[in-house]
Amino acid sequence: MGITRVTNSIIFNNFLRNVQRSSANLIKAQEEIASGSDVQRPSDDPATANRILTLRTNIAQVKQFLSNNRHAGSRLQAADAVLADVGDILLRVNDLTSAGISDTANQAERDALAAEINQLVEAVVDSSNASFAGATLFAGNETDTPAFEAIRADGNEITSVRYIGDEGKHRHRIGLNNWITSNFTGLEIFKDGKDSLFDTLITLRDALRHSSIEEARAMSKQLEGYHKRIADIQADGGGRMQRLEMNEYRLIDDLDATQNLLSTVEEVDITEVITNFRLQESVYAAVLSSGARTLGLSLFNFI
Amino acid sequence: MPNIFAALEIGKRALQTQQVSMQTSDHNVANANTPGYSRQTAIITTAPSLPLIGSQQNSARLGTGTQIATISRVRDKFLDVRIREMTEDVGKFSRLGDVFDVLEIIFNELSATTDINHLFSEFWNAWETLAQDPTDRALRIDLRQRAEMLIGDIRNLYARLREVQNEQDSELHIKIAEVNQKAALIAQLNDEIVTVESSGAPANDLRDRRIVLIEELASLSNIEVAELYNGSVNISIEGVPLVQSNRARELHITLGQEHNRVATENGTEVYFTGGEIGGIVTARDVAIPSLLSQLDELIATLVEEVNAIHRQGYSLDGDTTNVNFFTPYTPIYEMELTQADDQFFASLLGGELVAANIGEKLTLIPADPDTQLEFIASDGLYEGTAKVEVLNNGLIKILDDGGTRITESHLKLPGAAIPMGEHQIQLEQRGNQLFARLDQGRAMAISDNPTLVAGSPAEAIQVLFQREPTAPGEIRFTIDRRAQREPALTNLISAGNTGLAPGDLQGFVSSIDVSRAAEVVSLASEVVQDVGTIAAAQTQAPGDNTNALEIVQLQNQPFMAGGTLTLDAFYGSMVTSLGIEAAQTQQNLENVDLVLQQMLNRRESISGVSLDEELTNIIRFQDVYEAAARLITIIDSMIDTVINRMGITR
Repeated sequence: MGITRVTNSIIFNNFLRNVQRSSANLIKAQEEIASGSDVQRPSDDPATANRILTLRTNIAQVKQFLSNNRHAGSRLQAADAVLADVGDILLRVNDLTSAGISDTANQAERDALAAEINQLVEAVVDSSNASFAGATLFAGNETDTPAFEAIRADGNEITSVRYIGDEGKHRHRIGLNNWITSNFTGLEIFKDGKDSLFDTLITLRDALRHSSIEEARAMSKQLEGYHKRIADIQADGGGRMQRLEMNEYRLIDDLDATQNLLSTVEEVDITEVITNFRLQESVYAAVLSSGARTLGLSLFNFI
Repeated sequence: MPNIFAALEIGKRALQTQQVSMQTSDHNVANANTPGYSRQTAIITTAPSLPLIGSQQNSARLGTGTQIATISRVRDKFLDVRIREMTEDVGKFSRLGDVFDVLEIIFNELSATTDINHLFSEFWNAWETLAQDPTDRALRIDLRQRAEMLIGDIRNLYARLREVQNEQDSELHIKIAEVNQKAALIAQLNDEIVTVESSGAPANDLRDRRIVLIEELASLSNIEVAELYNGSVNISIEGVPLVQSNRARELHITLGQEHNRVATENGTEVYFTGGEIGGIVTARDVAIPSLLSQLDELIATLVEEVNAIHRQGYSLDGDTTNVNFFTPYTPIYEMELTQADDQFFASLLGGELVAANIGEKLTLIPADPDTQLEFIASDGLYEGTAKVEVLNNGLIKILDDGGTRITESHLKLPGAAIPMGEHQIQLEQRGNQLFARLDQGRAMAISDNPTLVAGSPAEAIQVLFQREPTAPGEIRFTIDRRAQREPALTNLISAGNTGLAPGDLQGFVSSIDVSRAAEVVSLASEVVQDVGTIAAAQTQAPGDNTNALEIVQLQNQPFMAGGTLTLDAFYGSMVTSLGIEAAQTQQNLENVDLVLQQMLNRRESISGVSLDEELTNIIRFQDVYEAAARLITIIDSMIDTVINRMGITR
């Protein structure tokens, strides 16, 4: 629609509208610089707004996986430390047994050895009831009570040990569809059917006291089996820790990548916005100055 | 024969014509800034010529100068119609755009730490952190805190959306008042224009003023305008007349009307599609309700899904199970099981009895819709049936106390009152306690001022017994909205002595109303009182985290939008679609506003006053005026010659 007849109102209105439009653009450009983001509200760019929300949800989830990953790692580590202690104790028991079953040992020496083994039984029971951050490590899901209950004779010596935990497995989510178990139950570590490591140690102690060399030898053999089993479990735990470590790297990579993506989506390119701002600034100045020249013009000035 | 006085007359007419023209230009200059003013021009024509007597066969005609034919407005009627249509659109989109601005601010979505999307993530993460060590009470407290923050913000969001919706209603009042005022002014102008124009002259300025009013009206509402032969206009809104000649009809609002309609004084509904009112009703009845219902849907699903898993878990001490995490929003049904001979019968309290056969779906119908009456107990009441009447002024009249000694002071109507008319209150002695029953409703002990319910809820439900109950008794249960999916689920709250356990009773409903689920969402009272009741375990062992892990996995399951979106994504899509709608409205506004501005410029170009032009015209008229004055001087001297010089001998 061409305008053939220009009236004063047209000049005024056009000027006003141009001023408003260019000052709105200027403010928008200024807002982009000040906030560092070109999407202040969803309507600025709905598709990007949705991506921002999705990415933020992803980031929060990956952070949680990372937290779970670390938590599972520290539990496994705590279990590993305890199992290493138990392994050392078993080695010591082995040495003591060797000394005890030797023909040269007399009853007094065997009693002394049995006394030390008795102390080591206490130590293994303590270890089996170890806890991490207030939760018993080897009791399955019964984490607020000890895993094993020691039954003591009148002389306060342990005569048998009973498992009071359950078979509960602690699972953690370390990825969208990636799970890891962070605990071993006392059953897996210390028990073998009806028998248990504790029974073996107690029998061994008593055998040395009674100089039943054959029984002591048999127990020593069983002990080896438990030692091997604990080593296997440590290896299993080690494998899991390795998996967690690799997973942690992956999660951190994932987190970094998602955060980078979020910044590219969310944050403005500062060179671009400043250039745009300068452009809007000069447009605004041009509108004002051209307006100042045209608005004053009138035939009255010339006749 | 030319007449010397005729020449004088021509001079006089020329002076007058130029003066009128000049005055019209003056009028134009003076009104250069008057809104709606269209420039006027004095149309100058030649005065009727006379035959020149004495010319050959009298064939020559002698001009008699000039005259003003009329003073007309320069105006394009077609443009007026288009401008009116565009004004309606601009009014609608700018009002709608304002509302979307407010809505977007309320959602405040993109500020990273306070928005609901973030709180959703925190909520799920708190469950997962609890799964790391379910025995840690601090983690349970943290979870409860996160859940409170999430639903607190949802309730807040819901309330603020409702607030904006209510604001639209009060805006509507103001705008309808404006419509009525403008309609009255237009009717008045119609009257004046008809009067003025009956004399034949166009009522230029009055018509300009009427067009301004009509366009102001168009910015408020969609209108149809028809001009009559006598110069008055009729205006209607979607066929409902607003202005007819010199009469205007007033619109009155009946609130609570929905779907873009507002009722008029005589009950006719007016359908507003354009103008600011069109924008207001679209925001009130379409845009905001859609957000509210999406929020309801989201929260209803969250509440159900979390509750369903939560109920199957065990508390920290391993003793408590079947506890909700959120307060369920679904109604609690109360069923009475009675035994006659070997057969059990079920009924919703006060409703009709149905034989409770195993494996057969029973339809239970309540007695009455949920209406209630408050009973204020006192000593000295007896057994019997009283008849009362609820009067239209909200008072209750005792028709017959039936020996109960009930008086008016015992009864009070609460918010959800029973309908007008006659009702029965039955008092029965059970043991040493009096029980009251309203109509067919449930009997309640009157010792603690009960609210008597005439039968609730209104909707029929279906139940299916999987196992035979062992004894009669009272059962309270809710039906999950998940019951619309298979398998149907029922949450047994209490089973009395009936021996039924969760899972023995299935419930079915055709539809469950989720409206206001987001408004009332809260944590279950058990969880509020003791975080130990949060069910992280699926066994009685305190360290069991399996239930927490199952709840966590809800985060990634697509429940919403027909099984395509997760809860988080549904919220995201809600925000996005709000953004799209806001952006579209903004774009529409810019488009129609641009077209409107172009057409206004076009009209201004035709009808507007150019000062330069008027000044030029004035100079032109001044020149002719001066020339005519000069002519008159000359003719004057000619007359002087004729009178004073001719025929005089000295």
